[in-house]
Amino acid sequence: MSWHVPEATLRAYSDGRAGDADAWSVEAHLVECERCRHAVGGPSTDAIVSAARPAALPPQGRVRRAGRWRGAVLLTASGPAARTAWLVAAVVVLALAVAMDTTWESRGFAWLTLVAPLLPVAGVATAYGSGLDEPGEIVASTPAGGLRLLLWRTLAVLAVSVPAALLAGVWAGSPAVWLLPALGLTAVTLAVGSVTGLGPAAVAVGLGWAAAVAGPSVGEHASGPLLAPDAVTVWIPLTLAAAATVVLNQHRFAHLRRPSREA
Amino acid sequence: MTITSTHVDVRDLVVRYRRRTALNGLDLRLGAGVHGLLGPNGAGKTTLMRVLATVVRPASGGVTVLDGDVTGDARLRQVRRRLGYLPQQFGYYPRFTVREFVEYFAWLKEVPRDRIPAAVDRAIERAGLLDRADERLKRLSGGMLRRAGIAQAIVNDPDVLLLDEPTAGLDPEQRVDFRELLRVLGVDACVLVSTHLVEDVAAACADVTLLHEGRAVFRGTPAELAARGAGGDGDSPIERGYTAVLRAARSA
Amino acid sequence: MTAGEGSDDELLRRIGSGDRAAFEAFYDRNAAWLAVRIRRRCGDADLTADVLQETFLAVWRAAGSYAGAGQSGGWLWSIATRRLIDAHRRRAVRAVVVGELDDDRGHAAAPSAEDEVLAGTYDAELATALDRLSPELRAVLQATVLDGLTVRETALLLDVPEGTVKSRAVRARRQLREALS
Repeated sequence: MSWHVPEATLRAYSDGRAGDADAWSVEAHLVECERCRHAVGGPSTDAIVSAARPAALPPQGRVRRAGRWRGAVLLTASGPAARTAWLVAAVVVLALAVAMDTTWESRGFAWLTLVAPLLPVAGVATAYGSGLDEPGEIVASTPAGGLRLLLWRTLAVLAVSVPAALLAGVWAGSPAVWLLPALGLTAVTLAVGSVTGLGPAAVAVGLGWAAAVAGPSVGEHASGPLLAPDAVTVWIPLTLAAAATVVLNQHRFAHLRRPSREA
Repeated sequence: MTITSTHVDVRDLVVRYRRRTALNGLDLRLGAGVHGLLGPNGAGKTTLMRVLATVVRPASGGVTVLDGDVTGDARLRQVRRRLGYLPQQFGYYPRFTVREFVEYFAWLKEVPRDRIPAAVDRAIERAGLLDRADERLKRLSGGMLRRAGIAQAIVNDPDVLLLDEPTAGLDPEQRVDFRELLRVLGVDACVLVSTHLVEDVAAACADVTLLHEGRAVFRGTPAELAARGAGGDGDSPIERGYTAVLRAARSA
Repeated sequence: MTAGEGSDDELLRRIGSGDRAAFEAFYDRNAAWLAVRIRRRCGDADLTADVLQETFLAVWRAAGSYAGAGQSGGWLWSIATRRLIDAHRRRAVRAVVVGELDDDRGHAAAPSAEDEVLAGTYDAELATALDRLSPELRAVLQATVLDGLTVRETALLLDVPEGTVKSRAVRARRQLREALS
């Protein structure tokens, strides 16, 4: 900074003698300029400065910077994917599926294929407005408490459950044909949930998926048409349509669905 | 036409839960200051709080908060940024510390990012919890938890602050501190406090609204309520006024 | 602007990690200008000392969150303004028995480009224009533009209704624009 407040002006300001226009100029400059800031002061401020000096400094506490990602971290950390109970349940379900698959391999019915895409669906169903979202009542009164929070939590659920299911699949030696359906079903759950509420939506999607997978599997084929390689032409448009529905219906996430408690 | 905008303007508000009518044609206008909300259980206090907090939508009637119609979606987000809400019961994520809990709501209320740490610090200080700021919520007593709830409610310097039974669980000393905070908050914000503790109202509120079966049956200063006390029961003049007004409303 | 060793940024970083000596140094450098600036707005030495102390205690606790580069002046002032307004709130409680305020409510409008210019630069022309404003208009402009207060906070600081703050701000800007054009 090349310009600095003239010494005389600074003295007048320090002693409270500066006019409003001069003071304005000085104050606008001081915020930007360390050198001039440190030059303010004098007999008229000494008393206040020494009276206000904190005698004892309390412990500081763990204050964090409000970085770009801090909000996202807090929003996801409050969701189910960051909870031990939810993680344990997901791992147990995956382990069971793998165990069933390795035990009854010959039957041609892939439990992992049935279960893996439903994990994120279950996570989404419990992510928002459910019993697991304890401060939901307060959250519902905040501007970012609707779809934005839900999407962060959905992302967290996917980030946890998809790799877990992939690992289980690699370990059990089964192909990850369920990857696309996992995304598609999650999107459909959100879309249907915008109308019916997430709980019922998740149940409907789960039953539908079970029927689609288990139905054709009764025969010889290990997977139904929805898992065939060319099913991409079904899943991608379905996912996009579901995403569009969510966006169009976003105001529906702005209020609590159930009028739950009363008094 | 004169437009005198107020913080909260409720007209002919009706809210139904299935077949029960919780609020039945309520009218209420509130400006800055601390307003007490009294009434027996089931009178509709919590329902009114939830409607004003934009958590539930009314069946019919007009609700304007901070010049925004909150029965629609258009102004909802702007209004919510300037709201503070402490429900009677609130859950919390047990592994969050007090600071993280308040910070979480600062983000949800879209407080400008660079202001969040200082705003969180100030809210916790005002709620009197600085020495416990980094303690996990699950380790706090009921009274401290309530103060953590108050801190999150005021973190965005709300223009409308809704506190449902905020003194529940506070010990007498904490209640005195809290009333002092209420008076300070009420200087330039609209603070609506629902309580069943009549002495809280007498000590901190500029005016009182008494609800009975979903309607306002009294609106006035605590002194005016106390003046209605002839024929009522209770230990203090204001309690006698409270019971007398209710008795009159029931027999009407 | 100084950076690196010994700058306010560097001191704040050290305060953030619990360095008491750095806090003392930061206080010695910044208490005086903050005291002058606060005193100009409340005119009361005791209140100024209270606000100053609360501000620096908040700085001690929150220094770990400071992430700016050369913005410590603005950061410090933004903490101080909230404390200044809180002090006014407390004083209002003590002074007046709570009365019904039935005035126009509003909140901070986003600063316009014009405001940014006003807050950041300064020249002789602007000085003359500011000098021609009435003290009431100048005070509103100072609070909302220079100090970054909301309408609600300005009303509290100047002890006038919010509606008055808004109409004065409009008038002040119009007069300023006319004087500068």
